[in-house]
Amino acid sequence: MKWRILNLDTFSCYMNMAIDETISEGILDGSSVPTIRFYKWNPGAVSIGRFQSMNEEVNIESCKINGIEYVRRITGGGAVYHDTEGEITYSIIGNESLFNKGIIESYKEICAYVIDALGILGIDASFHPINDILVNNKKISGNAQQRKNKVLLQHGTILVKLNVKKMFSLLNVSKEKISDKLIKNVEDRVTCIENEKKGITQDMIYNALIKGFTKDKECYFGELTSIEKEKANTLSERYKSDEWNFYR
Amino acid sequence: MYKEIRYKVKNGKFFHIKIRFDKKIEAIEIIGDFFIYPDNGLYLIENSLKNLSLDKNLIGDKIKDKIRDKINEIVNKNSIKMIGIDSESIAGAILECI
Repeated sequence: MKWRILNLDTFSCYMNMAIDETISEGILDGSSVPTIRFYKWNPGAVSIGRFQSMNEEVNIESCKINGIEYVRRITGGGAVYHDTEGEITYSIIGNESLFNKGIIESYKEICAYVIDALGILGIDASFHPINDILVNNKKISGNAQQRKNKVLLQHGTILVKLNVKKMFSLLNVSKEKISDKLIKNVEDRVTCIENEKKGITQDMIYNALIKGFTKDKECYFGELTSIEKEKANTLSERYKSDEWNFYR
Repeated sequence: MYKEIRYKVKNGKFFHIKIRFDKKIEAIEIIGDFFIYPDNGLYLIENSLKNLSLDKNLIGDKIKDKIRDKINEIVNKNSIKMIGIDSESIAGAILECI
């Protein structure tokens, strides 16, 4: 079983989500191969989980003022701000049989690739169920998984730089979440590579991620096929629609 | 009557319920950062609770048991997996609303 690696590339939030879904659908019908991809988001964007409410989670007005886009993912989980230079996102997509059968166990299995990559950079990280990676008790990576028709898609973010004020100006963080974790300052919840280790470049991060994700796997560097590109372009229109993004 | 409630699942996620009810649940929406597999599992759960009668002769825990059992019936029938949320907490949140 060979994994296709799609090199780090940058797309809009709509296209990023469309590519992930296109490959998932392609695994099902045989037109795509098991894939690991790395991507960035331009313009910067907020993505919300499948079962969240856009209006509840996102400060739409602030997004519009700041030129930030917003999109609903097909995966569950929480709202995330994807800063163009502030993070790298991965996705891994393949038949369910390629991963641990248990949901939490498969989160742990895939998050271990990210933890290994952070370890290569000299950052000691750990998995925190259900779907977080923490460094010194602060979240450095959030992950979300879809399982549909025996295809598993997991994508997640690795925070590189953090602009907490900007992040929380775009997201509506509920008072319940803050009081629940017994912290006064929401800035205590998250961290990033830049905060944990100085002098790490994007190239170093990307090379570490490649090593973490490809360890013990047979891989090749490939590209999206023309069919995948066409399907993703079409699907990206759904991700732009209010019907999808504001359906709850 | 329309009510909303925000609820934290012990060792789980936060969710928000919007419910319209009278003698039965007329409409319900469950919103949050949980995970449900397959994707349409949430729709099936919400749909199963629509028109569920809220018998005023049943008190507190009995109503909660009825709601929880209804959710479990749909979950088991459709092999739905819930992560960060469960039938017990959904039933508990609905009970607090009604």
